Amino acid sequence: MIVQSIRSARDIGLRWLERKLGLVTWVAGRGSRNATALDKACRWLAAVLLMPPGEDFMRDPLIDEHPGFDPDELEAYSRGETA
Amino acid sequence: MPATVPFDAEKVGKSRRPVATKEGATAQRALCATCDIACSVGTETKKGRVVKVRASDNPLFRDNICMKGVYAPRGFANPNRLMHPMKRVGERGSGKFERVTWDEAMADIGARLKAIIAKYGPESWAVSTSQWNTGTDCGLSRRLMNHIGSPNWISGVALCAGNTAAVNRLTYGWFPMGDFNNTNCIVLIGHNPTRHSWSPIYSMIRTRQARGAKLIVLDPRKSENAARADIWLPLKAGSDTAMLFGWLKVIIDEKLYDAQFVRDWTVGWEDLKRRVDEFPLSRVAELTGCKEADIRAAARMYATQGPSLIPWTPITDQQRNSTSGIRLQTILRAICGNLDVVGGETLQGLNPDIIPETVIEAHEVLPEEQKLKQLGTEDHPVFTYRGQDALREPMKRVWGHEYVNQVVGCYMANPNSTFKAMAGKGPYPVKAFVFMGNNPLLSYANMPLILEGMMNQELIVAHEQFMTPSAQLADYVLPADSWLERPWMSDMFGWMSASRPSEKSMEPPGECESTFSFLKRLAGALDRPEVIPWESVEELYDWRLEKTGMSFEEFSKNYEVYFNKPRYKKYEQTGFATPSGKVELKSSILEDLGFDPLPYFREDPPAPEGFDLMLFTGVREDGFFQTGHRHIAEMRAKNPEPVCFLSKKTAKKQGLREGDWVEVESTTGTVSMKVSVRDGMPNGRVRILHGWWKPELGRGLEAGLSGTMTYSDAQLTGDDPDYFDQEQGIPHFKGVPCKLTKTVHLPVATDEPTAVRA
Repeated sequence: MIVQSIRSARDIGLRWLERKLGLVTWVAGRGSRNATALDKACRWLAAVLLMPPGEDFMRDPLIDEHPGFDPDELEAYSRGETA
Repeated sequence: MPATVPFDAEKVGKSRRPVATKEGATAQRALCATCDIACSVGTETKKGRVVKVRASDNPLFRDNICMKGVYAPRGFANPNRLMHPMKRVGERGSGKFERVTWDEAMADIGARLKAIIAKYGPESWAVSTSQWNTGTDCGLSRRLMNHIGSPNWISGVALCAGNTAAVNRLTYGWFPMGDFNNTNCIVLIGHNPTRHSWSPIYSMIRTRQARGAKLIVLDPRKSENAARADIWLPLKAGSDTAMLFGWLKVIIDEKLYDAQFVRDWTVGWEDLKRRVDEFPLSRVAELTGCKEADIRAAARMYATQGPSLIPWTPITDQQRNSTSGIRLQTILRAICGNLDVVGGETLQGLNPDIIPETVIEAHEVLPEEQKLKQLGTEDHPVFTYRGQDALREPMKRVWGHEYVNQVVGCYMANPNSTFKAMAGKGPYPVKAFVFMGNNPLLSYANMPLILEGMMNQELIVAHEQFMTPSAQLADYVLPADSWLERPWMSDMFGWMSASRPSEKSMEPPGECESTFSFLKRLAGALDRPEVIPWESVEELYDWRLEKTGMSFEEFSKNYEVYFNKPRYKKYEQTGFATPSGKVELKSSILEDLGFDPLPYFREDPPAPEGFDLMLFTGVREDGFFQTGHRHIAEMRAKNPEPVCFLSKKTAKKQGLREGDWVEVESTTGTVSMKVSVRDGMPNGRVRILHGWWKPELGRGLEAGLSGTMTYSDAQLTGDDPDYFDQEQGIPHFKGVPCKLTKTVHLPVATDEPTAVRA
C-alpha cells in the first residue's frame, strides 16, 4: 500500500514535470520562430524567464557572430589558390 | 541557455524544417561528428558546398555547437584533403604514393588480404577504427570480420568510454546515461567539459548549477569546472580509485546509502564492506593528498543531495586501476539509489523500433573457437568476447539481444596485445591491418611497439580524409567522406535509446567515399558481397527503420530526435542483466575470470632514479579533437605548438620559464614540448597535451612522420605491467614518472602544402 502510494506520487510528479517541460519547450520553440504575434509573445516570455544574455554562459562571439563562409572562397581554398 | 529535455517524444522529437540564414542557401539537419558528442546542428549549403554550420533551431539543442563545428566547412575544404585513392610506391614509411583508381586499389587489396588469410588464418587480419569518427560503419566492419572469421577489431574506445561500458556491465548489466537535466548533484572525475569541448554537457552542467545543483570536481589541476565547483578535491593524478574508496567508507560508516536497495537488489555487500574498511580516511587522505574533512564533505554531498550523477569520465578509463575505479563508480551509483531514477543514471536499453548496430554486427556468426583467439583474451579479458560471455543470457533476458555491443566497446581485442601480434610477439601473427577514421600510431600507448608492428605488416590499408602519420605507413590510402557529406543515424551506439538523423549536406569531393561504401567494396573484393547486401547506406537505414513505418528520408524530414517515453526502475520487472540478476558489488564475472571480484587499489611503484616528476596525459585543447584538426589554420592560431603545463614552483625548480622548450622523457620515450606555467597546476606534475603532430612537416619515417616522432605523447606511455590495468589491459596515463630537460626547438623541414595533392 505504502509502495503503491509512493509510486503514485512519483508518477504524479513525473507527469507534472513533463507538462512543465513541455510548456517550456513549446514557448521556446514558438519564440524561436518570431513570425506571428503569438511567436513574439513567446519570445518576450522566454526572454523574461530565461537567463539574461550578459549572464548566459553559452554566448560566445566566435559562435554567435560567425558569418559562415563564401562558397567561391572555399572552392578556391580547396584548390590551394588561397591561404 | 538551453531548454530542458522533456519526456514527451511527440512534442519535441518532431520539429519543423530548419531555415537557412544565408541568402540563397538550403538548410539541413545534421549531427556534428567533429568530436564524439554528436551535437545536433544546422548546416547551410550553397553552390554545392556547406557554407555554414550553426546550432540547431530546435530549442532542445540550443547552443549545442563549438568552434570546431563552426570551422568544419573550411577544415574539410583544406587543399591537402585526400581526393583520390593512393598506392605506396616506395618502401613502407617512405611517404611516397601514386594515384590509382578505386577499382585497381580494391582488386589488389582483396587479392592480398585473401592470400594473407589463406596463409595465416582469418585472425591475422586486424582492424582499428571508431564508429564515432566514421559514422557509416554502422557495425559493418564487425559484420564483415565476423563472417570472415577475425575477432581482432580494436578501437580507441578501449581507452575511452568503450571500456567503461564493458566494466559497468559487470556490475549492473548496462552502461547508464546520466539524466543531467534533472539531477541535483554532479561529480566530475577529472573530466572538464567547456564551452568548446563537449558543449552540450557543459551547458547542462551549468544550467543545473544555475538551478541549484551541486558540483563536485576531482582533479589534480584547478580546471574551469573545478573553479566553479562546490567542492574541489585536488587529488594526486591516478589516485581516483583511492578517493572513491574513501567516499564509500564515509557513506557506509554513516549509513548514507539506500539500505532497502542494498538489501533487495545487491549481492556482495558484506564482502564490499570488509574491503572498504581497508581504507580509513587517514589512509585515503595520504594516498590522494586531500584533506579528510574535504573527502568526507564530498561523500556526504554525493550521498545526500541526490539524485546524483557520476557522468562518464575518461580519467578512470586510462589508468592502472581502471577496472576498480570504474567499478567503484558503479557501486556508488547503485548503493546511493541513483540507478534508473529521474535525475540519476538511466538504463535506457535499445529502442525497440529501430534495428541496432549490434544486430548488424552479427557476433553470433563468429565461431566460438575464433572468439577465443581474440587477442588479449587470456591475460586481459574484460572487454573481449570471453570477458563478456557470462552476460549473453542476462542481456537476452533483460535487453532482448544476446550480444549488445554498447559504445562499440564490449567485444574488442586488446590493442596492445594486437600490436604485439603485429610485431611478431603474440600467440600468432597479425599480418594485415586496416584502419578507418583512426590514427592508430598516435592513439594508443607504446608508440614504438605500434610502429614496429606496422612496419612488420604485409598489408596496411587506411581509409582517411588526410595523410595522417599512420596513413603514411600504409600500402593504400583511400579517400574518405566527412560528416557533411553523408547521411547518418545515431543512437550513440547503444548508450541511448534515442535516435537522431543526420542529413547529407553536400556531395563528397573528388573520389571520397563513405565507410559504408569502402566496406561494401571490401566485402566484394573478398568474394563475400552477400555479407553487405544493401546497395546504399540509405537502403540500410530504411531496413533499420522498417518497424517505424518510415523510410530514412521520412525519418530525417520529420524527426530531430526519435525516442519513446522513458521508464524508470525497469529492473523491478526484469532484474538486472547480470548473472545473479542483481547489482553485483562483488563481481561473479571477474571472479570466474580469475581476478579479484572486489575493487582494489594498486599504489604507485617506486619511480626510476632521476625521474622525479609525474606526467599525466590524455587531455586535449578545445580546438582539436584527439589527433585531428591540426591542419585548420584558425585552430592552430589558438594552439600553434604542443604544450606541457607546469606550476610556478615546479617551473622555477626546473629552471624553466613560460615559452621555453623542453624534452619530456619517460622510460618509454622522449618528446619536445613548449612550457606553459599555470597557476592551477599541482606541484611536481607535468600535464601533457594529447595527439600532437604537424601536418605541415615532412612526411615519411625518415622525416619523422610529420612531427609525430618529435611531439606525440603516445611515445611517453608504455605497457609495463606496473603501469597497466590487468583486467582490461589498459595503459596508465595518469601519473607516469618523467623528467624534463631544457632544449632548443629546431625547426623541422616542411612539405609544400599543395605539393602533396594528387
